[in-house]
Formats: sequence, C-alpha cells, structure tokens
Amino acid sequence: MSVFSNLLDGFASALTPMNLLWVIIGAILGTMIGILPGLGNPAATLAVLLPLTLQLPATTGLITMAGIYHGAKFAGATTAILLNIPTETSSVVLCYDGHELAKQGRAGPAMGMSAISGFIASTVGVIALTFAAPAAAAVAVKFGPPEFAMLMLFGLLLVVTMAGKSPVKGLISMVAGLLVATVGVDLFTGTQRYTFGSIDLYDGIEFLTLTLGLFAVGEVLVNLQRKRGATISFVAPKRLRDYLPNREDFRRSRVAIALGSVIGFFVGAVPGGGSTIGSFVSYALVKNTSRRKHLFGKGAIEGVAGPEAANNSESGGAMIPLLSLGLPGSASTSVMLAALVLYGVQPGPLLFTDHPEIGWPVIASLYLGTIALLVLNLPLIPMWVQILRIPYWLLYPVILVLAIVGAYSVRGSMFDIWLLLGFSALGYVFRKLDIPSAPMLMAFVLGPQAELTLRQSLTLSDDSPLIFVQRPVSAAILGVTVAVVLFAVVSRQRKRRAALALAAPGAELVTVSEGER
Amino acid sequence: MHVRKPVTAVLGLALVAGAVAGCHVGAASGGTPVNIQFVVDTGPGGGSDVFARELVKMAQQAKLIDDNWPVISKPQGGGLGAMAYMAGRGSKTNVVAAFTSKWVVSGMATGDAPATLDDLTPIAELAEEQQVVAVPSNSPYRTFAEFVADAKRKPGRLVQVGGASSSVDNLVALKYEKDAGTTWKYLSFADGGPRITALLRGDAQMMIGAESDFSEQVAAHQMKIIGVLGSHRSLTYPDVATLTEQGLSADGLPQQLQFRGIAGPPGMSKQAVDYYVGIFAKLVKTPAWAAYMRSEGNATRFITGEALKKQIATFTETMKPLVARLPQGSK
Repeated sequence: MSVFSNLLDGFASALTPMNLLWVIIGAILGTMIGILPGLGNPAATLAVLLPLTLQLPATTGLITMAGIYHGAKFAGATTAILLNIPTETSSVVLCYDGHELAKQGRAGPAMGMSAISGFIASTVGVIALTFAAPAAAAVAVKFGPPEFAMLMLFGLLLVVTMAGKSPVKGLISMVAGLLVATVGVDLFTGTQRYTFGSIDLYDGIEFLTLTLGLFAVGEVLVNLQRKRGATISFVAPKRLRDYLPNREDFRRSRVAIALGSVIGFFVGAVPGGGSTIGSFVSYALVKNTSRRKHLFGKGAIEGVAGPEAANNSESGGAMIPLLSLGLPGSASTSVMLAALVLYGVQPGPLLFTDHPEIGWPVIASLYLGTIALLVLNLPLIPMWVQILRIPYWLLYPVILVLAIVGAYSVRGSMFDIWLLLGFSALGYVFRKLDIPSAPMLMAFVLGPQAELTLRQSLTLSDDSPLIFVQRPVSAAILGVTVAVVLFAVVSRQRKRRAALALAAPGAELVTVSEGER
Repeated sequence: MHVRKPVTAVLGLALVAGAVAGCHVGAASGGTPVNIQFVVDTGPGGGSDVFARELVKMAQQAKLIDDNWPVISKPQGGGLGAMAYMAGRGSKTNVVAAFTSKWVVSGMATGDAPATLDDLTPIAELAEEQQVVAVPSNSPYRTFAEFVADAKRKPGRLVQVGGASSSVDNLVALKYEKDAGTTWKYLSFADGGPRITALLRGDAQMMIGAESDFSEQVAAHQMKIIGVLGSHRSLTYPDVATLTEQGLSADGLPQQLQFRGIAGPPGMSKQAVDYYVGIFAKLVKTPAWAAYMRSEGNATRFITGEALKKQIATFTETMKPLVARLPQGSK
C-alpha cells in the first residue's frame, strides 16, 4: 500500500516540533481572525495571512495554512452558533439548529459537537483518502453539469422543506435569494443582469455583504426594541464537562456524523463541489432520514453534527482532485495551490510523485490541524460561550462596526456598505414578517451553480432535457429527489388524514399539524 | 504618563513620525513612491493575483524593492473594476495594476465601460502568454486542423470548453469557425478545474489556453497539445506545429494574444513611471524571472513607452472585428 506508507512519511515530516508549533499558531490565528464577523471566511483568512506564511519554509508554511484553514472553519461555526452570524457559506446551516441550541442555553454542547464531529469526520476523510482515493476519483470525474444540476435541484427543493413553519414564506425567501444571485454579468453571454450599469454590481453581490446584512445587522435592528442590558438567558455550568455534549447527544448524532462524513467526502472530491453543498445536502439528508424530524430547526443536535461532519471530511475529499488531477476542489484549496506556486512548486497530477516531500505532509497536516483545533478549543469552549453574556448594549455596537468593516474589506468597496444597509433593512422586514432568512442565503449560494449547470447541460444536449435521465448518475439523483418529494407529500397527506380523523370539525387542528412540520 | 524607558519612547515616536511622513509622500504625486499597492483583477489564487505576488517576491529577493507591496483584488467584470479603480486614483504614484490583454477586450465588449486601458498610464509589458490547443490524451485528433475538419463534418456538435464568452480563446475560436465555415459549441465554466474535468469526462473535446493551464496534465499523460497559436513554436513543446503550419491562416489575429504588463493611474508622473520601469527592467533580467517564465510557458516581452502604447493600440484594432462577432447580448 504505497499511499499508506507515503502518508506515514508525510506524518513523520509534519510531526517535527517546529511544524507542530506552527500548526498550533496557525489554528489560533485562524480562529482569531475567523471569529470577527466579516473577515471570517477561510479563503480570505488564508489570503490575508499569505505574506506571513510565505516567510516560512515550504512545508512549514503549508502546514501553518492548514492550521489557519481549520481555525477559520471552526470560527465560522462558532459565530454561527453563538451569534447567528454565518461568516462562511458552509456554516449557514449551523444557524438552523446551532443558534437555537444556544438560545436554549446549550451553546457549549453545540460547539463541542461541532468540534468533535468535525474531528471524527476529518479522520474518516483522511482514512478514505488513503484507501479509497482511486475509486472516489473515478466517480468524481463522472460528475458533470447534468449531475450537478440535479444535485442543485435536490438542494433547492430541500431549501423549501427546511424553511420551517410556512412553506410559502420559505418560498418567498428562496425566490428573493435566487433573484439576488442573478445580479451581475452573465458568464455565458456577457449580458448584464440587474446591474443598472453600475460597475460595483458587475461581479454580483458578495456572500458576506448579504449574510452580514440579513443576519448580523438584521438581528441587531430587531433586538433594539428589547430592554437594555438583556442577554440570552443561560446558566453557566461550573465544570468543563457540563459544557460538552452528553451521552444522549452523541447517541442521537451517530448516524448524522456517519452520513455527513461520507457525503462531505464525496462532494469534496468533485471539482467545484466544496463544503457548502456538502454541509447543506448533509443537513437535508440527516433531517429527512431522522425520526425526530419535527425537532430540526428547533435545536436538534444532529442538525449541528451532520453538516459539521460534512464540512470537515470535505478537506479529505478535496485532496482527491488535487491528487489525481492537480485541480483545486474549493476556494481554500485554490489559495493553498497559489501558495504552492509561490514556493516554486507547480501543482498538478504529478505533484505527489515529483514533490512527495510537500504533498504528503500537507495531507498529514490538514489532519493535524483538526487535532490541534480539538485540543485547543474544547477547553476554551467555556470562554467562547461567555460571548453570550456580553450585554447587548456593548455587543451590538461591536457587531455593527465589525459588520461594516467586514462588508467593506471583501472588495474594498464603499458601495458594499450601502448594499449592507439595504440587506439589513430586508433582514429586519423578514424578521418582522416572520420570513426565515436562511432559505434566501442558501438559494443565493446554490442558485448560480444551479443555473450554470442547467445551462451547461442544455448546451451539451442541444436543449433536450432528456440528458438528465440519460446519464446514470444524474438519473439516480433525480430518482432520489422524486422519492423524497413523494415521501414528503404522502406523509403529509397521512398526517392530515389522521388529524381530520381525530377531530372532525377541527380545521384549526389541521393548520396546527401543518405548522408543526 | 511616566516614561520609564526613554529609548523605547523615542523609538516609538520615530516610528510614528516615519509612518506619518510615509503616508504624506505616498499621497503626494512627486518623489519616490512609498507604500505601494498592487491592484489585480482576480481573487486570491487567481492568475493575476499569483502573477503580482510572484513579481513582488522576486523583486524582494533580488533586492530591487525592500518593502512588501500588498496585493489588492478588484475582480469586477474581468478588469473593468480594476480599471475603474485605477482611473479614480488620479495622479497617485503609489498604486500600480497588473493588467492583461483581457482588459482591452473587456473594455470593448462592454459598450459603457467606466474606464478602459486607454485611460491609464501604461508602464511596461512584461510577458507574453503563449496560447495552445489541448485535447484529452485519448482524443482522436492529432492536430487542430483535424479537429476543424471533424467540426466541418458535424457542425454544431463538437464542444470547446472555456470561461466567459468574451475571453480570447472564444474570440480565436469564432475566427477559425468562420474561416472553416462551420461552428462548434463553447461551454463556459467559471473555474479552471471543472474545465479540465469536462475534457477528461468526454463532455467537451478541446480547450484553448495558456501552456501552464495544461502542463501538469500533459506531463501526467492525461492531456496532449495539438497546436500552438502565434507565429513561433513553443519552447516546451517544440514538436507541436503552429496553427499556421497546420494550414490554418492566422490572418486577423493579433501577434500576441495574451500579454501581461503594469499600468499606473491616468495622471502618473513621468518620474514615477521611470521609477517603476527601472525596477521591472532589472527584474526581467534576473535568473529567477527567466525560470518563472520558463515554468509558466511564457516569454519575456519587455516593452515600454511609445512602443507599448502602439502595441496596445494595434492589439485593440485587431480585436475589434473579433469582438464584433460575439452574440448581441455580449455588448
């Protein structure tokens, strides 16, 4: 097993005291920068710290970047859970249940579960990478536009089902997201869409601008009406153990972690996949296969475990296109590839044969990065949770400043601050009307990919939709989608009938049972 | 405040004073530029971003500059955002941009571009990026001419993979399609990774790009090069014939299809331009630069002053009819 021995060599060279020190420094730096809403996405954090890491020798530099990457990812989960602010696309789903848990005083277990499931999934990812890389690579290459289009269709359908109480409100939010996602110059034809001739809208709207407006500032605006000095009520436990997930949490999350690990790995293995789609599909599947479906969105710990597992096993999967094709699977791997170029190493399919001294330690260090984070962060969770105790009159001005700085810093554009204001107002209106914001954000993330792959597929097939059933993988995904929809419809009908049978004139009961869905 | 360590205080004051003075000179239009910023049109890890960072790294190592030039990303609209930003810098001397020939095309393809390369002060062209035609290694085509012949047999069936429709590879393809009286499809992907996988999967048959887009895949026998654009063969693949040698006329195409250079804001002083020209003139003579050019499959083209202005003007004129062939929506 040459891969195995290579990986062992990789671990051997990554495990020098010097490298270990740097992976820890990287993890701390990544967490610290990532925790600031607005600077938090891993690719941007890596880019900011690139000049620093380039001062180090190649292997050490890349290992530091692995630490930063995982630190920023963990920080993204932290802000999503504690403050309901997803600073990176893959932590949007954490707001559904993670922040609900925090509101119930269970922020510690949610964060602990996010770190632990992330660690387990990274382990699965590295093991799968070691033993299943060739098989996964073969499947990943088969994943073209039609397959992606069907996956996106599946995802968008699930956005509506996840919307919570009212499907109609979920749909409104989703359509708003799709609409905002179309802003910018169309890749296919170069046509300007909704740019109103403004140069600032040519590249569309930044994820961070939308998310900071809808979530961070929107939340602040709504809570302005509350009493001064109020905080989220929670009891601070004394012992560290009480901050961590309990046995019941783990029992519930077993399946979710397993599902998430596998999905994250495969989606990561597909070039253009990335952890967002992985975490999202994982949440949807975990929810739809769960017997406690009704608890999702109200603080189900599985809803944290599943997506975070996918988010982390993705790094193992993302190494597969890198190993077999020399192609980056996600934005963060792109930055790491750029760093390789600056170190004078040309990334490509021969990277691991020509430069084993760099390739394998990087894979090893990605894994060490998750361990460093787990060791560093589990004891620190009680400290992070204290953020919730900061009174609003102090926390909110800080969030506002960070949101404005964050929105500005992405592209250095004043225009984005005005956009931020607009989205903040929208976030406020949404909350007042009880329209969930998350479907808008998810549709914004998935929409462009859905549109692009749909058009690519139809270009390939000369506008014949049959391409989606002619290709086996895409037909299979379509089949699963149809099955899920049928299942949802049937179970809804059954519930409705049961409710009708219980209380014959009870029209109110019917609405209640629908509302509970 | 009671100062216990006067040395520290003095040092601190000196630092602050230095920083203030630095800002002052940086903002002024004369003198040696300090706190220089490097504007690029791609995000972190993108082509121009890596190019700019490489330049800074090599210049530091060769002791041509002693500070770091932070790279600023203005990715809107394939150069439009970067050009508009540069145009708004007036006569600042401490901001330069890494432009590519794509900026010319972007400016033309967009009827109401807020600023074009003509508005800026060109400082130097540095490199030409040779374009090649690549196919999967199991492809039946041995030359680009064979691909074109096949496209004539089945018009509208073959698929070329690439980026935005206004990118140079599509403009070149449109010319060869018209010459041969046939068409093939152009499938757009936003990133390089999915483009290559589309070829390996068999969804697409051909791609035109820079040598460095394929060099690693070619070395791993996943892809092969079947043609070279431009007047001369590639140094890396000397056995591959140019398209002209394959009997396909290069009439109507510019001499250099893709090139990279440095430009300043509209009103940059002659003195500042000379300062940057001095740095880059020395840089392109270093061994590190030569090695970088070789590894990227690029050729050094150091052109400044009037010659550079003429080169950009000629390129613009040659590209105009090609851009005019784009579908209506693109303009």
